[in-house]
Amino acid sequence: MALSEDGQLISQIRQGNTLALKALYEKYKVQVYRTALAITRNREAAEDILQDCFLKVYTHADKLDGSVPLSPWLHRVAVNLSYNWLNRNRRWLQPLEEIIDQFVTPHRLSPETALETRELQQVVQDAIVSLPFAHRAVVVLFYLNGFSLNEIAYILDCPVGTVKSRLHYARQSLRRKLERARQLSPEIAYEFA
Amino acid sequence: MSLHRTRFTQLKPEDQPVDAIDEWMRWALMNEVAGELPSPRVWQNIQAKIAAHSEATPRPSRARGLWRNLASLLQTYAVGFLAPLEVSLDSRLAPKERSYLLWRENFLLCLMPMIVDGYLLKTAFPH
Repeated sequence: MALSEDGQLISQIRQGNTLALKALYEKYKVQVYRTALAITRNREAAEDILQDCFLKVYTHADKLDGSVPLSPWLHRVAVNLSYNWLNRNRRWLQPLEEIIDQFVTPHRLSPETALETRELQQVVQDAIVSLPFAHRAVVVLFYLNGFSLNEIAYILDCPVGTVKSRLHYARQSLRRKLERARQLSPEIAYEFA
Repeated sequence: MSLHRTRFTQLKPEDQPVDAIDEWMRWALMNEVAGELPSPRVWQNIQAKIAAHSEATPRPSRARGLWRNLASLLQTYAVGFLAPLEVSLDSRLAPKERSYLLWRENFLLCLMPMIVDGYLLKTAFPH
């Protein structure tokens, strides 16, 4: 089977070529870093995860399949490392009441459109963060990275049906939260109409 | 955006976006990480760790450790065997004293190797 572009770089990494590793790093660093950042919401953690991902590429080069793109494997490692980090830090568990309080706090409400947009963005982001890890990972991989359902199933090591149900749950959950926020703050009602 | 729209069309009807929720999620996530880049020190750290990994001295293999332990075992046997011989050849000792020392050395010759063997074998095969 012909080696992909990534596969050729991987075969060079197996021989200890760090320039090939650098080429792979330059190709995927932004994608992997932003995925880790979207899941952990912590820049230092995202950088550590990015670093560990590429150290694993170097140390596990012998086991990598050079005939397929590296991106799903890299994201699989990044998601697993993010999960470990979240487990250690537990920063992603933010009660919904806290999110709503943030949203309806008087100083956050403003007639300025820009501020409303930022508030709305904050509500959506916080609602995503309040999702369980498994659902949040699906949301990030699907909406931010644009992975297919099959690719997400490989990355999360679960059936495609599970990915679909998690995506459905995430949509439903976010819809409920946004509806609740809209009831609490009618000023942005038109935004969801 | 077009990439995501293309992917949505590949989904089954029940997975198709039904309202603006999908757009909101994508918009919020993309805004959250927009412009975020890893610092250059990440690659420097990777290089440093790879260099440290390459320079690390390899641990002695299990086989080499086993041979070293077997050599120690043979040495113990050799010492245990020569000690009573030395006593029996020492003509300055009285017969009664020599008999006692030989008995003691023989006892130790039986007991000590068992203890030492047990210890060394446990070291060689920890599990």
